[in-house]
Amino acid sequence: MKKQRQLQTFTFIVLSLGLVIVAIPFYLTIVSAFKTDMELYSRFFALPQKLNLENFKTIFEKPTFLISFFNSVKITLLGLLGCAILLPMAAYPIARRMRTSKIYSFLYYYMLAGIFVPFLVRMIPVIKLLNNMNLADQNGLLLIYLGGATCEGVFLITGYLATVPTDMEEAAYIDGASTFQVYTQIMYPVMKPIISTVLIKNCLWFWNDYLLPSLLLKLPEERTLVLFQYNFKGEHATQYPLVFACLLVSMLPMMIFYFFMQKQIIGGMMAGAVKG
Amino acid sequence: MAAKRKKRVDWDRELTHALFVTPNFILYTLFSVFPIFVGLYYSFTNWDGIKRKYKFVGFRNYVRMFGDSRFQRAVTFNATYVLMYVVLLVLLAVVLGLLLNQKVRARSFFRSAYFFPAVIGMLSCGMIFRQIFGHGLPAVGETLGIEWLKTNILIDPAKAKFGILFVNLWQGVCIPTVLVLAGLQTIPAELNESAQLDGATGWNIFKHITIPFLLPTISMILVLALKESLMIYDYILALTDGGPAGRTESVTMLIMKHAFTELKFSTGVAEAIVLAVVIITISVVQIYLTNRKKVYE
Repeated sequence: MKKQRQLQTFTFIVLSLGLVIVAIPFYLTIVSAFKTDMELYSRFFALPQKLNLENFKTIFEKPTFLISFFNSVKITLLGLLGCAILLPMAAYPIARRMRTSKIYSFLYYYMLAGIFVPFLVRMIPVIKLLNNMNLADQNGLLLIYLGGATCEGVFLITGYLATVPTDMEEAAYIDGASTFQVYTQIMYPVMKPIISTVLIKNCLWFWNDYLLPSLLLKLPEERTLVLFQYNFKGEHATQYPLVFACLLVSMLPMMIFYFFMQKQIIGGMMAGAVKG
Repeated sequence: MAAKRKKRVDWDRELTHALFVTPNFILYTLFSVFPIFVGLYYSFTNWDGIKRKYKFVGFRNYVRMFGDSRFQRAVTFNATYVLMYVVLLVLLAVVLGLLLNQKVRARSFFRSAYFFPAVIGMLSCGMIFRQIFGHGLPAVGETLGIEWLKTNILIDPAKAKFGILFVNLWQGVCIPTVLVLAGLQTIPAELNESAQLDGATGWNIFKHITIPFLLPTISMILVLALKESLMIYDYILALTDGGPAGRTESVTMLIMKHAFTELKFSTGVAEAIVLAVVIITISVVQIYLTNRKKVYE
């Protein structure tokens, strides 16, 4: 028993030390955002001498900041809305019929196959295609997101539905419900836990994505927050407190999101680790 | 019930199901499957990405790639990087998972906190650490008089990749740790207890119970980490941009530069396809090994 307690104390100490490594970058981001240039150089690790809000003022005064913030919000929300409607809709018939119908069984493997092909290979030609279709903008971006979210979404939702018995649906059919009614009123609510997993995973992807927006969104008024943040660093390369303030502002929404939804996010990321 | 239904085609069901599948089928085909074939097509041409004219060159892009010293350097960098990353990640994830599985005080707080880095973007993460390596660590080295900390490791050709590795691990270990934690829950509590009653030492329990139960999880983490580190891009972009002197240019970075900024689109696509073949092979081998193990069990 005594040995066990020693082990626990040891674990506690190791975990606490590790926590310092996890926390330091966040701590530095937050304190640096409130510092002046001079202060950052002379006292990198110290708390700011006074709560200096100049950096945030500079960022908020940039006309492109608010635009790119709302662009990120818009793209993330529209992408998630698309995922919430389209993915379960496609996964439901596949899950229920892949065992009896050749077509749906083919669709399952067809949609799954994309997991093995790295995203990069699918994406480089897409950029050229969208340029030719005059879709190199936010609409094109959303289309790639929805196409790209298919493999993982269908895989996770069909996997979940395989564990749900069909009794409820059968009973509803006998009562004369249409397929559409069965889907919207019975099955969609049943799928909610796995849908939220899919949405959380994609939310982090859409919000934090740099690669696709950087290749598709050329106009300043179309850019997302991650692009703003990267360009901002280019413009203010030597004003580090300003760069930190910018990083903090763009990380904050996800940090708040995590604070309130820790359990769901951890669960969602675990279930979503299949992505290639 | 199902048999009865089969006899008469239920048109309401057929039609609804078909309509349900169609939108995603089209999106996926158009924006995920079709591009693979477009890419394959261009990889056999000499298209620069902009000009209207191009011609077929057969396997020239593929052949030239292997003689290109820049590609060779990127492959060498990637290979050493992947090896270091995968080994360290698996070790770190197993250790952290085991620690977070102990009954310590504030366990749920620790679990949440250790997972936190996963929610910020890779680019933001790289940008934060670029400042830490550039200002924070040299300041510490200066104050404490530690010589090797005084310079920015990201501009040192020999050390830059370790900086990238550290940042990648800092964020990349979050999900594998949770996976290990989930894997540990599959070990029946009785098994550990009876082993303890039989006088098994901690090391024996670890070797004969914990590790066998964790193997499927570890093999999954291994493949995820392999893919992830073969495709590393955002971190390098934010930390070194491939420098110093191209010493940290990964294959993905080279592909992106060829395809979008250096007017060698077809070369970039061919390189991407080679990378894809490597990744697909790894996935297939993993599936084969996992299935074979299941059969023998």
